[in-house]
Amino acid sequence: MIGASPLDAYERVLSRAQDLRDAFRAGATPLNDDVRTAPNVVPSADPLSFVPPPGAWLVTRGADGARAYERDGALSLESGVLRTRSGADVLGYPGGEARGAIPVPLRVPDTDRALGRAADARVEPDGTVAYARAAIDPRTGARGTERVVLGRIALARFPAGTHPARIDGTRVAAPHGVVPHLGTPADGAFAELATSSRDAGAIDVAAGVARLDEAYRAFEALGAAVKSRASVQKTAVDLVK
Amino acid sequence: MIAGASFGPPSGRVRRLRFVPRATIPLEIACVVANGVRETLRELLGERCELVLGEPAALGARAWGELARDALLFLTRGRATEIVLVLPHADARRLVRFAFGERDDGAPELSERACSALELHALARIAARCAAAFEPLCAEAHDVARPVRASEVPACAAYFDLRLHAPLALTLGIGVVRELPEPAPAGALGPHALDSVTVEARAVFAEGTLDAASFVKIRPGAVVKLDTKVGAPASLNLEGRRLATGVPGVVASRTAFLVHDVALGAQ
Repeated sequence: MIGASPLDAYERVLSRAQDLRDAFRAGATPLNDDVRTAPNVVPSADPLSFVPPPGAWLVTRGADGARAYERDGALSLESGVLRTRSGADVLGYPGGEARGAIPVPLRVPDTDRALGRAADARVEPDGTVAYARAAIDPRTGARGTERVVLGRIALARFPAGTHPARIDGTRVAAPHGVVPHLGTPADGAFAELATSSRDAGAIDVAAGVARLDEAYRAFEALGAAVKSRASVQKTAVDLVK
Repeated sequence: MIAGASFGPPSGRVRRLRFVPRATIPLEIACVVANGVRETLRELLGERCELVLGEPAALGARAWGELARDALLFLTRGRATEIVLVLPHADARRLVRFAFGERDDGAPELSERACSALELHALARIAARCAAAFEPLCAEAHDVARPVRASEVPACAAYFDLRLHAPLALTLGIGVVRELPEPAPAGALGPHALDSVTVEARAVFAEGTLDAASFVKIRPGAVVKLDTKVGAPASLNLEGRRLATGVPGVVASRTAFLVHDVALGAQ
């Protein structure tokens, strides 16, 4: 420990503190894997909010066009496009099938967007994003509803043992040379989404506090050692004088 | 202003109730237009067409701008209002390709390209044919539908969409520039409100005048000559008031009255 850099110790304290700050942040990726735990899934009244299955990531595209992966399933329709809380476009398959298709942003048709018809859009357990709109049969004048499907949300999984590259608290990127497996919820490779739910954090608070305490004690010990060494050096210099 | 209640987008856990303007386009007229467009497309495409229409909606300038931004517009002027046929570019390409006998192979490069001059001309012809169905809205169309730019037409006040499901999927928008006059209020009470009330009616097929001496001489077998000529209309009277004129007759084993004319308020 004496040989360790005080700056490194300080950085460890900061990273532990950051993990604790993200303890209740939906979809947060901890800086230290030893505090990661299963997501705390709580009910939500928002029909566009869900929690992806363990190990699965939403595929998103930021304003810069770069692809990223997120686990925060609190989505919203902004300007007719399905977006994450961070403002990135959520990618999916308008045709419903992932095989041979490239995921694209899921959009509300222009007419329905202009007329505000997608206000009751919801995410279903198989990742389908759909809403109902009024439809009138002109022959009879009978009113009914028809279902409009925007597509199915794409999910990604990294190969076992792969550590995604952390972009920020909620977003990661695929490590260089690693291609994640893409699919859709309930397609056999991925489990269903936990719909009408939200992720209330995936960080073990107790473990985080303990690790922060350890890091802080290590930092204090290192500080004391550095101070002691400085004192010895000063004494030696005084003797030489 | 007629307003409808609607729920806005979720804000946290709450979707706020809000009142939104409601279009005054009568649904019956929208259905007539939709049926006319369907039959026109059936003739033009040579296949059975299936469509439904969306709920007519009042439009703000912003919503109209979004609807017209990426679409071909065809204007039909009429006495009551102007109608704008809104054909989104992607749907226009699909429609004209279908009309030319090309079936949708899902090739994005084909559906993304701009329409050629020939295709635009064909689309204008299709729009002109469809515009004949707008007569119930226009009330006397002044000219045929012609292509216009969004800047050449004022913002539409009301809108409904026709969603064609077969033989191909596309959306035709119908924009109404000026809202139609609001219909007169319906009567406060319908005829069914009088269901429990009965009245005594009398059908009179002939009338005449007798002097008192002739009246007292009437015996079985006597013939009384009346003033009404043969074939003159009979009348159906209520409390001495004539309600209708018609012809007396028989239905099954009962006498009946065939109404030819209703004279409400007549004496």
